[in-house]
Amino acid sequence: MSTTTEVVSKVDDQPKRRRRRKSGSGPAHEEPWAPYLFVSPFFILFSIFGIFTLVYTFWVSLHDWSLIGGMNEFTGIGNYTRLLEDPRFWKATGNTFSIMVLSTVPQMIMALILAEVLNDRLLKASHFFRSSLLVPNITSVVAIAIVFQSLFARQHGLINAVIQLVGFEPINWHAGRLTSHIAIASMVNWQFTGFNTLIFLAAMQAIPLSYYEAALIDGASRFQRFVRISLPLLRPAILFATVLSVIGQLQLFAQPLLFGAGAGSTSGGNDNQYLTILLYLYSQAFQQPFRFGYASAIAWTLVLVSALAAGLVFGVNALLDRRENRAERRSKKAAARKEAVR
Amino acid sequence: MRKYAPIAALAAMALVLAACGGGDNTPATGDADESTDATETTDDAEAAPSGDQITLNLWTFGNFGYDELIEEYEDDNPNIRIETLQQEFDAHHDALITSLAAGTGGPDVAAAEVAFIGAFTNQADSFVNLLDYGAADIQEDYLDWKWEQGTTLDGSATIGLPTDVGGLAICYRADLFDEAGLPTDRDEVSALWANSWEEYIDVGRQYADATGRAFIDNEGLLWDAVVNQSPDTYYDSNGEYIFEESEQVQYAWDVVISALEAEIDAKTPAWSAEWNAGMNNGDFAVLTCPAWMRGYIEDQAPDTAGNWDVATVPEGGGNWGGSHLVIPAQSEHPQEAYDFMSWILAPEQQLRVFEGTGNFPSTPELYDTPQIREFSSEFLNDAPLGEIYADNALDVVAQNVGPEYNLINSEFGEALNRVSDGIESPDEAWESAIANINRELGL
Repeated sequence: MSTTTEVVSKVDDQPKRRRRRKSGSGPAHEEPWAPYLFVSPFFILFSIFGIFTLVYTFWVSLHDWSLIGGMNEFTGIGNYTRLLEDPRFWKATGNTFSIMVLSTVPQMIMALILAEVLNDRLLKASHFFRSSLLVPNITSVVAIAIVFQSLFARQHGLINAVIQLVGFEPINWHAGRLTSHIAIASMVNWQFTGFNTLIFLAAMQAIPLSYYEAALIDGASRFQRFVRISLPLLRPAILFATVLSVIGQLQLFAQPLLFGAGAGSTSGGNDNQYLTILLYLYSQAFQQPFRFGYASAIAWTLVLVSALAAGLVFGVNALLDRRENRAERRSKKAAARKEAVR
Repeated sequence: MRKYAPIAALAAMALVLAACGGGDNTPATGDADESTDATETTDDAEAAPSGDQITLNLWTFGNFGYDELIEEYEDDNPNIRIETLQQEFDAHHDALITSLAAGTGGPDVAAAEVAFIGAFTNQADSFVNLLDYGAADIQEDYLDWKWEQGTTLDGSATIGLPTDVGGLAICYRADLFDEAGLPTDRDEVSALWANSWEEYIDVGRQYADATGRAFIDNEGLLWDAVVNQSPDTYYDSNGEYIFEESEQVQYAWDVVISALEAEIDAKTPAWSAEWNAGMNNGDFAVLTCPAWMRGYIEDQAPDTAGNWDVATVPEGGGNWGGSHLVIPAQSEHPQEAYDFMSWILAPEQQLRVFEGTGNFPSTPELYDTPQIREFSSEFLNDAPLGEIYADNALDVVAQNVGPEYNLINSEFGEALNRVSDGIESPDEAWESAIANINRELGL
């Protein structure tokens, strides 16, 4: 029985293979399950450590569940309604978005400028500059936070020393909501600007030089070339970097934790000035009163908020796309009209 | 047959994954060098002829100073091996609580700091009741108030044996006191504020007027010192919340507010880099000083050796820090764990720990021994530390720490810090603190 099937398969393999080769889609699939096997390790691990934990977290979030006392009772959406009325959660959400804006926007602008500078072919020792950009990125966040904590320290901080030298009153960075956000955002900016610069640089180098040459012949200035050629063509890269940054900032944890004065301070400032969503989650779950179910509800809310924020970025991008397409169509129509008139 | 190949492959992979997950039979990473040395492995096997070698896992934080004692215990009990895991304060308690939540993966013996012990006695089911193992027989060895902290409110279960106590004293910079025209002798300094915290603040005012510098480091440690001097702080002895009406809480609040209004604090938060720098720079002249603080000052400000001295704390006893050892209920060897624990916390062993690390014993019978009575430190200008801390520890009154001590205490601490930063007035801060605590506790 097996021999007949083999013969049959050999017989109709021939034309198939030829057809495939023609279309150039790679070797024949003699074991159709092979690709699934090769990708399965990721999906197995993902279902254990990703999907299962997500579902289990949701299950926990529906209960009054103490970390050391265990499960108490099913509360349904009780944790979620409580969350909506929790002023600390809303403050943490506001802080998270504020720090996100303060770190994402300047980061993207600086990364674009740096990438433009580094893309200059006349720049000497460009390899040195490019690799040094990655140094902050591979520095431990704890080390960064300790350095920045002493930079922004109230009494003996370098920044306050400079401010006093210029003749102003020293700033109590931890006390103000905006000042603490600026301090924390500056840590994030310092760490991730280089990484984004490299993404932009790679994308810039993929832009054909002929575009710039043509613009140069037309008499475009360097600024015009940047705004009219580089920026529009970099949009996919900017989108990618922004989504990464937004999702990363929504999960901001170590920086505000370590910026907090003293050891183990999870309150995010004496008035929760820099309490982020994740810091709040941690303090609810792992500190008294060990409210594990409530923390799980925060986690699920954070998942939804992240999806919304990423969706928002994609939405803006789609809007820009549509506008561009319309503009293109309009200019094509105008060109056609001109042609017709001629 | 071929059709089943993918399923077989997946099954094989699942087996591999399962093997990675099941840790019982795979050697721990630390054993790697042991298995290469075959002779040593056989030696171990010979040492335990009965074959029931028992490994106890011990989790501690900071520096408990047990290494030497553990070696000795292993020599005396060849069938017991003790694996220690020593972490930082937060990492240790996080890991312990996570293992309690998981119901597995925890140690056989764990340290629990005083800030956590109330939460643990409230969940006594998660721990072994030491009374079942005869702990009542050794109760007399320990300070009453410390013993009670490790016992449930109804007294039906004791989950923790006391390790060290913090005690409380005031460390002061004699050189800076001299500059300010204040007395420098420790007895005279203690007499300056013997009666009340108000006197302490008055000294601070004099100091600040004379030098233009701050007297205390921050308002938080002052709060901790004052509020813990009474049995009725956040909970009464029945476990009811009394944080809002407690006289001691109100009194501590008023003391700290008057210190803030006198502007004698350096506004350097505890454990921050600025605080450490302040110990060197003389940004403040006094520090709330439990027994274990000496090591911290020595580490952070070695150049100030001999400038510090120690006075007693106003208004009697007090305690800051100290721990218990507990046995999680999931331990498979509670009897062996208890045997080990009761040995290492016996007075003789506590004395050796004290001599090694300075962690102050919780066993009062040692307080009359010459080793404690005559103990002093050159760094602290030969102040009679043993005497000061022993007398102080005997003065402490039992306090029901309560399951949410940390939460309530840090809300008050942050409220006072808001006053210090000028964000809220004292009255606003009190109201917001009470409101925050009520909301967090779901009252």
